[in-house]
Amino acid sequence: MGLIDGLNTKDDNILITSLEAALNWGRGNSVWPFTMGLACCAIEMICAGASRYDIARFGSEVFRPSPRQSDLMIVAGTVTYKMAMRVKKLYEQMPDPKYVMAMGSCAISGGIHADSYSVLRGIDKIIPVDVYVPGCPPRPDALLDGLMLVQKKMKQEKLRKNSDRFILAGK
Amino acid sequence: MSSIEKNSVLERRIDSLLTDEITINFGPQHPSTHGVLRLEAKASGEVITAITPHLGYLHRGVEKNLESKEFLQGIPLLDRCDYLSSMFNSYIMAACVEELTEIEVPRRAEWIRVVAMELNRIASHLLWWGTFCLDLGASSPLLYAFRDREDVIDLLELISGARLLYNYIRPGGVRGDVTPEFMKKLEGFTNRFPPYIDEYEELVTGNAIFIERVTNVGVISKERAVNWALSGPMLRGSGVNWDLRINEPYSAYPEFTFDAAVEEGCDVMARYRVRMMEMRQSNRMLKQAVEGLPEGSHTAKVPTSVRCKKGMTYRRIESPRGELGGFMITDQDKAKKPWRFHLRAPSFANLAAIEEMSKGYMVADMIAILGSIDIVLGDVDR
Amino acid sequence: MSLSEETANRIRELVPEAESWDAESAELTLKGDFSTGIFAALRDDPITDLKYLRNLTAFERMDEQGVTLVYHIASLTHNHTVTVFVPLSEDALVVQSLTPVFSAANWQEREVYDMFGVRFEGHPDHRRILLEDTFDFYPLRKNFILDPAVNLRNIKEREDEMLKKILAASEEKAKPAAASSEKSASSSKSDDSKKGEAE
Ligand code: SF4
Repeated sequence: MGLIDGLNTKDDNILITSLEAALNWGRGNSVWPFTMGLACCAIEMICAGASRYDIARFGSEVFRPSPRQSDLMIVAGTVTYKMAMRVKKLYEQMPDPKYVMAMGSCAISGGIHADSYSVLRGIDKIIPVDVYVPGCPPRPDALLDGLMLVQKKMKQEKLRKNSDRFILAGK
Repeated sequence: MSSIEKNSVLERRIDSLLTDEITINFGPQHPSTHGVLRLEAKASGEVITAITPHLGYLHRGVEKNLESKEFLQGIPLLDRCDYLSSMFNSYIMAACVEELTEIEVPRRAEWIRVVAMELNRIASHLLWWGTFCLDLGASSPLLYAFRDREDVIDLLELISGARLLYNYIRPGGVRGDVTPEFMKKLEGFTNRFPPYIDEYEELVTGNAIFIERVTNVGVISKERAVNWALSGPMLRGSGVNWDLRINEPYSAYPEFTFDAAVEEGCDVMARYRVRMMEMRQSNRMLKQAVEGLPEGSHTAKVPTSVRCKKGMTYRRIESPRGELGGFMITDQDKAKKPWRFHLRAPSFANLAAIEEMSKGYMVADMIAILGSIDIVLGDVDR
Repeated sequence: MSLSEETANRIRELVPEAESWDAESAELTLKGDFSTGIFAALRDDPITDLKYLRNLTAFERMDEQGVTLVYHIASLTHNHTVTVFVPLSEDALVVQSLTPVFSAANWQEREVYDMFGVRFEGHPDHRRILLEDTFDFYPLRKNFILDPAVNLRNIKEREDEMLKKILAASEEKAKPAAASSEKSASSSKSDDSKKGEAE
């Protein structure tokens, strides 16, 4: 018996569920977002991080400029074809488990620029998206709401490897 | 510093620090590029020897899209170009259409436009100030800047209903009249704001580290600034007294008293001072508007689908970043759509000079120089 | 901002080979094979003093095939602006680059090349500026049709094609180990000066 054995069983047991709860609690309350500020929506993202809206109340004030230190990618703005490759690459550089929020209609579907010859119609064509925050631009309040949805999702994560997105890879 | 002096400094620095040349890649996803700009810098040791900017990561094809949209539909698209000062972008479309339709704009509408644009200028400069200080390593100014920016945004939201992209200025006037409640709040703001600026100056402008980092950095002489067609604070920071609000008056600006902010320093500090001074001048104009806003209608009678006569026009205004121009051609009488609309983007023209400005300075100086240009990538790439 | 008579006459003297010169609207029309000396002369003459190339763009003519270049050049001391038109025919989309005269022309010419395919001879860095080099069209030409209805119908195919290109390119870049990612190079280099929106 031991932690590893406990993880390998088929059913949930008290060891797994309490460890799960502790991990998810910690993870959900200190989300480190990756500043993928691409266009207008980025300004509202900064607003959410600054004085009035103060994203620190939700434990997410640590905006990281590097993908390797963050677990939530907020794609705020228009993704063009020229940028798409970079977005995908940066997503791949993030450590697991990773979450993506598409902020603004541009990131969701191309938005107002959907007719254009150079705009990707939605980042979900290249990377998986967890939460969509609509608006052009969404207000900071909406971003905070989206963040809470991400946290909710994080708190439902399962430790066991047969769950669809397992947290402890390998063993 | 004259260009000769600058060259000798450059040589001296390169001589003393001659090491392997390395290539440093900034961006396209990098916090100090304020968006998705990619700079490929060649550095010998820490001294920059060449910079190649790579643009277009935010090129959204706005100019092409405008050709298939009616004039009114085009305004939201233009708003999203320079998203920090979208009032100005709306104005440029409205001005072009007004010129080709000969719509008479009521005096009150012009005054409200000035109020909206000056508020927007303050909001834009405040964001610039916060992020510029952040680039230099000071993180608390951002919080101060946003405290007051939210104040301005509240006012803009009150008249336009939006926080960032307003779609407020229309051909013929503005979308909605200002309310007495707005005027009261505006008055409160104009009284509150000057002490705030004093606070910023106290916090940052006199700071020894700050002064060290920005004086005599990013020098561009008067002649070169004109040759590069720099505009706005970049040009005025190099000692050229050229403010389109004064030199080529438009809207209701001739009715306001204010001074162009000019500094002789030619460096990052001069541009910083120009922007700080501009905020004070904007506040001064807002004060005058509170006192003397004329009565009348907020918009002329304009059909929902505006038709322009055949023609061509180049209108330019002073946006927070410099000369914002709209070059519009219509191909027939009663045209519903522009045949061609070109946006002369101030950030694009100003950014072009970055290589000349940062050659011979340290890599960290380049960040200060880039910050002092105040680029908006939506404006650069369109 | 109309021109003074003195300036108008001076421009006529300086540019004898102009196709037309309209002093009323300050519009000058030049042939496609103009020499950059004209602009240098207009720039250096104290009366014209056209030192400030405020805008350079192009448009496609409506009646016949071809592109017209537009230069807006201003004098900051005398406060006047002259508009220079250079009509080019479809089979000769090439002019002299103004970059030696006005540094400001550098990027603006590249943009015109990017959008219209007009070539600028003698340009120091003649590449596309906004679009990727792999794009094989000039978007602001009228024969590049941007019809939302058509676009929406073909959206799937076009998107697939574009994405294939993107993914292929990203895989190719990922292959050589030496080509470390753009991001990591920048973040390691510049941790000191830019803490980002972190603190
Ligand atoms: S959704 Fe709207 S505000 Fe956001 S990036 Fe797109 S155009 Fe800009």
